[in-house]
Amino acid sequence: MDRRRFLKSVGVASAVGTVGFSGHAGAQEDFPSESLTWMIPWSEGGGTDQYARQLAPVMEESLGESIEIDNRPGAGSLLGSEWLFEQDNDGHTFGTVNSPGWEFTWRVEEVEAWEPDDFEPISFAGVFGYTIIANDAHGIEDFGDLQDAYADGDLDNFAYQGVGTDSHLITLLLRDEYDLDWQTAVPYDGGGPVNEAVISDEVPAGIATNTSAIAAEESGDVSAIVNLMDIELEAFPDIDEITEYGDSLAYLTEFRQMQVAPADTPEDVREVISEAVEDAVEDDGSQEWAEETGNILEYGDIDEATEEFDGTVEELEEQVDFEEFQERVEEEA
Amino acid sequence: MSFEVFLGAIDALFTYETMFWVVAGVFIGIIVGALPGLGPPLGMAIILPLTLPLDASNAIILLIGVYSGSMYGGSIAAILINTPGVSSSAATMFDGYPMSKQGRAATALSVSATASAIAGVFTITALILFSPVLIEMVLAVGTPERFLVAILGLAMITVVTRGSLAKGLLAGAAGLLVTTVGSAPMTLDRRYSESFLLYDGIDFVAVLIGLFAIAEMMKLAGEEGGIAEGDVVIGGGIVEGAVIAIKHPITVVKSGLIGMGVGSIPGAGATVSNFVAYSEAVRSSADPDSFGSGNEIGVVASEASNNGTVAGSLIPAISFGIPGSSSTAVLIGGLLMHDLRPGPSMFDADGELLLTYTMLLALLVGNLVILLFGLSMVTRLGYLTKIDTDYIIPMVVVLSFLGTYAIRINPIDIITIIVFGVIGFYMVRYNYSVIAFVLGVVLGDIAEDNLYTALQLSDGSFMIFVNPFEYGRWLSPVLVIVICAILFGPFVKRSIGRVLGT
Repeated sequence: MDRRRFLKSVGVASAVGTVGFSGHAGAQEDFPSESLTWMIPWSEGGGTDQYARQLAPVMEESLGESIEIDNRPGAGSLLGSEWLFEQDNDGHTFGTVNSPGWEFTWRVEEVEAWEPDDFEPISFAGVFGYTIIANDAHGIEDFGDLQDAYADGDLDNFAYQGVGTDSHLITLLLRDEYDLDWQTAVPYDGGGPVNEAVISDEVPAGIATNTSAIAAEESGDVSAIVNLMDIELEAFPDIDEITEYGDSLAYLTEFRQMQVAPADTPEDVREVISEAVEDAVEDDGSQEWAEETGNILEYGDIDEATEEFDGTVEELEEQVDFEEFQERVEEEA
Repeated sequence: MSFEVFLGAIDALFTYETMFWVVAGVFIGIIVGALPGLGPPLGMAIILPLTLPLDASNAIILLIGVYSGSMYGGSIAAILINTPGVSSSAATMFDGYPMSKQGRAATALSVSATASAIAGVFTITALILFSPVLIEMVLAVGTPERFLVAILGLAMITVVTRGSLAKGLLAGAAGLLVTTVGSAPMTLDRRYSESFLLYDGIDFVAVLIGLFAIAEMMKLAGEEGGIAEGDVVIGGGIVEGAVIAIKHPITVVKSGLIGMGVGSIPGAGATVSNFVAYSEAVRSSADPDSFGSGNEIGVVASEASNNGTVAGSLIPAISFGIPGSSSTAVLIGGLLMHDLRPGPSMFDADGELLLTYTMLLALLVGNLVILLFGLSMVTRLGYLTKIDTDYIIPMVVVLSFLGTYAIRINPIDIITIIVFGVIGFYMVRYNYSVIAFVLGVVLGDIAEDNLYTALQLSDGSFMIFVNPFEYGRWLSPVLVIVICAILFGPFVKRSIGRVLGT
């Protein structure tokens, strides 16, 4: 933990102290004493929601209390986060954020009311990230083929998931640093529309999450051709890794489904939720679900989650020149 | 289609257990559809984990039953209390509610049940028979076509506006302005949305509820008695309603097909198809002025289209795993949860065709359940319109606020309801077309997003919308011709008539 983060935590702790937060000694024995609320900052049916709805029933058994899944979509998950920030820190309310995409959006939108570091990590339950998919009509088999096709002018357009998003930045980086010489980057309103555009060959290639890439491949017209994450994908054991063509992009392309609680939620209470998440991840039914859907379940305890969580904003700032990115977005428009 | 697999599907469907899930799904769907705000995505998402113990086909049948039932259920609130139970029932209000005021609520409800069921059966049969062709058609609809469908809907403003056309266009433009609020699709700008509460713009469901439910309750507050006006006798036969729907087969089929066509376009969906079908019914009618004051054909068109949408939206969902709406996203989640992968194998005799057929046949049966349930029980709800508005108004107001807030738990929606309630009240009073306004609100985002993306695809050239040779998009010029026909057809027709007449 660096000094800056430390100072911020102290600030928050004293602020909360003045509004009547008193010690939680022995919280673990009493916790949970009522039903829990699990805030999901995305709509019903989305990837993050599906994880939560899969894990929640098993967690309920471990905790002995019911869990209400509370979907609070909006502003690219910032609206739900803002709500969670203001909730009681007794552990009965927690949420899931997809880090580092969440921090990226927070930074681009220049949120001032709260910081990602204000939240307390509990665990992570899954990993997902980006791949590139291409329409089979163009005979692209690996990233090298795709580079050649754009360089030769056989292909022009490349699809990504929304202006100003992490996938937009990745698209720019692919051209600047990975020799993917697309002529026009075409924004679509999220992952589903990108898949659809590539399947129908409106755009020859684009960025898709690993789970949606499986679905896209099932259409019979599309293949995943390069994994932009560092972790290996069981669903695509033979595809290229972007690291074969340049530096790792994991700081932008690999997301952990991180459970977080409002500032100063006591560690012993978070520990209880974390253990329930572990039970749910290891549950046979959950594992079967993961295998069937291609979702990757991976549990990380408080320490591991903290390690992943802390300093994410700093790392993004280090790697990304946000001002330049924002300028380029405006230029493109 | 593979006939043997089809027979196998019939065999699989007609078991007590499966039939139970069909009926249960439709029943739950009607209830979640009828309650404003509690729409099919939420209902299906809650049921999804509960389907885990069921086998795959029963689970999917239950989910799809909820989806189908809710499309019909939405009409109940639309007809009885001028509140769209689901946004895809919005156009049902335009004539369904005036029918209630005239004491013909039962007729309107039975028109809705019959039109819903016939269109449902028709479109699902079409899906079973022509799935390979339909799959190809879905792929022909891309970004430029989606923009043009939105423009087609906006062109319908000229059709549905009664009275002053200038006022209609003004109302439509005001509706479009509402959709400019929120983050811009092409830059990092946030328009009029310093707060994150407005980041995703103004929710059109909240606008609909305000414009219709709240504005109407404000109006009713100044009147005595029930929703049914004065001393009208609650009559209107159930049989009469069913006969009306049956007597307009062209409207049912045409609206069902519009629902299926527009519904198969991801991102457009049931709400857009609902308005397009209604507007088309107005356009093709010999007596367009009777719409909006209780013309049954308006209810027929609206309700036939939203049930047709179910079949349409299943095409991209099942064959490509593309969710066109939150409801189909949950459905795809259900398929994956039960180890079924959307894709061509769902239509392959060696793949999952048996399950696909079973599911579609279950939908057919589900539509019969809608018909039976709709005609026998729901029509009795017509008596609600006789209850004194002193009791109805608080119930509707509370239900409207709760339901809208439940959709995305955003406090701004509460303010939206109030503001648009007042706007709707005065729009009606001063004869501005509420329908034109709603068309602007519903279609503005779709038009803007897809226009920008289409122009990125074509490097800024508008030829992508008209030149089929350069871009290989044959559907775009067809849509442009249809739009021109709607906009200029009446003038051309009049000119020709004048020339021939002289």
